Amino acid sequence: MSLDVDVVVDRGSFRLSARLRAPAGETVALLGPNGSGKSTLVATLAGLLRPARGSVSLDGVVLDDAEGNRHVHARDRRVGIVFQDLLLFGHLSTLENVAFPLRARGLAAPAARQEAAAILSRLGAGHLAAVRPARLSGGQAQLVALARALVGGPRLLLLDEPLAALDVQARERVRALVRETLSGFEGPRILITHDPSEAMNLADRLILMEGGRITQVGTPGDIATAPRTEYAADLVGLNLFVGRLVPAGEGVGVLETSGSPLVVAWPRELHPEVEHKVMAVLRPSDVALFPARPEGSARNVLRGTITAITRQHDRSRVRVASRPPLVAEVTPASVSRLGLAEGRTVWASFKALEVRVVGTR
Amino acid sequence: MTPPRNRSDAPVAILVVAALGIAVLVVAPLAGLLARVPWSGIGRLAEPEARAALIVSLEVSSGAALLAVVVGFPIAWVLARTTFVGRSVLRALVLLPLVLPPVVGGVALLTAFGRRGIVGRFLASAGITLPFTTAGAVLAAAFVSTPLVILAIESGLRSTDSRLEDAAATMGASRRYVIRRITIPLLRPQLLAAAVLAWARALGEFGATITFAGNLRGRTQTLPLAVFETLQSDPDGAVVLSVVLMILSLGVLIALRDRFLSR
Repeated sequence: MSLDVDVVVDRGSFRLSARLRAPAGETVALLGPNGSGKSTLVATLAGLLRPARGSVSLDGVVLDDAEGNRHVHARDRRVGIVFQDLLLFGHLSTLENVAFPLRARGLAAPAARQEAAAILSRLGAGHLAAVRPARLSGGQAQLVALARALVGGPRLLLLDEPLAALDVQARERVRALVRETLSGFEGPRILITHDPSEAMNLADRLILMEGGRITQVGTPGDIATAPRTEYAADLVGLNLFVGRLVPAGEGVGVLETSGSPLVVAWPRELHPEVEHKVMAVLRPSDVALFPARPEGSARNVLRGTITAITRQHDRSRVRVASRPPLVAEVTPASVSRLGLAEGRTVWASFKALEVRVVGTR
Repeated sequence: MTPPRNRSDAPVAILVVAALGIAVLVVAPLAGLLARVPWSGIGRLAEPEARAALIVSLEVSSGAALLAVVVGFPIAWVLARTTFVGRSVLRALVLLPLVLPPVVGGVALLTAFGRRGIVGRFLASAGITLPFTTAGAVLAAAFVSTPLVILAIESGLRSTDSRLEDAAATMGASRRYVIRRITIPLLRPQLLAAAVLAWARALGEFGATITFAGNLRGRTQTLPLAVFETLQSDPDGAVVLSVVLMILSLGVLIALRDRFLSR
């Protein structure tokens, strides 16, 4: 029991190449910026787009096989989908919206309505049965869409940005319900999102997509310790550097980045006398900020303008447009003590030891 | 809603031409008609000839509107929701009656459905006659009004969100079920507007009707035909009938104003 995908999908000039496996009983989050190909993948799994190459199979049943010219129509796939814009039917009541998939598959109206009512009350939305979608709040509409996706026993569950349109309070409530729904669903379940905290919160495994490709697959822990792209590093809040690592004396090397070279501790697992193309990460909390050029033992000192300061709980993330750009994490107290503000020029420093090489390319 | 413009913004030339156009095309004919109405002779409307024409007109227009929507919706759906080679040629063909002189349409209908027409001869052997019957008048009126229905519904289909139809398909709905439970309900205002528009166009139809269905009182003589015939012998009677037609047409336009015309 699993979903197996290995496809190339063309949509105008955009091309998606994706290979992934989602076992039953596991929640996989597709995470990527806008235009990364998430919705193209959703449309392909739903049967609304035909892959140019490759195949899709679910529980061993081939849904798409471009080479074998096989394509199971969307209506015969039994995929339960919560669409990004929900796409509730505005001319039908909540109850009729949820009963729609059952009636479309030939169940008589009274039986379909009964089942729809049951699933609505299970989600705590029984009192909304007679209401038209236009009169529902954001959170209520989301519940109705979820009920409609679950009704009729789908084999695959696809949730496309199920929390994106909600305000903070509704989001907390719906998130709990989505989590419950996901863990209660036996087949493969796929969550599409661009919100990393949502993905890490709800999914067992993350699939990162960028520019129509899958760039990394792993547990939230895997990605947090060893991000493979700038986007991945940014997601987990790390600085990522990619470049040539050149030996520079006993136990140290120079990492040639897009900007200034960085002095880094030579990783023990790499051969000490040759160059390597590597990726290295730096924790934002290891970056210190100074209003003037600092004295001290730190080997790396970069200068740049602050472009953004965002507050996250008990710490502030400061983006510095140095070369290479950096993110530093400091306490809100130091933000005010150092007089940090957007547009100010600061000095950022970190020790060679704190740059951690996470892989070679 | 765009904010109302200050009138002084409008260029003088535009205002002058607009006023002139309204005077020549709207006010003068309307005033001419109303000035000539023999108010004492308004009772003529009760005469059997006028009443028969009014009844035939209402029957023919309603029948034609119904036929135009029943035939026009599937054609519009095909044009809006499918892609195939020659679609733009098909669109041009089905819209042809819009620009064709109605008399030519009537001649074409005769050559097709006349007693010796390429289809008509088979209909005749099955005992069905269309020329010079009320059904023939309905066909002639539907011929000229179906293109309007197609235009209105196709633009309606293109402006409704086809993602809703896709979503319905992922829920197991067949295309037919999607059309019945999603497309048509969402399109109801446009369908209504299309029907009213077709009805109004059919009401004014003259050329195709007189050519294909003739001018038989009580069967194919609609109000416009009655106006034309009455004008030869009784100009006052023609004016009265014309005013009736005008009021009917104006009523339809006012009923439509928000739904279709103001867009």
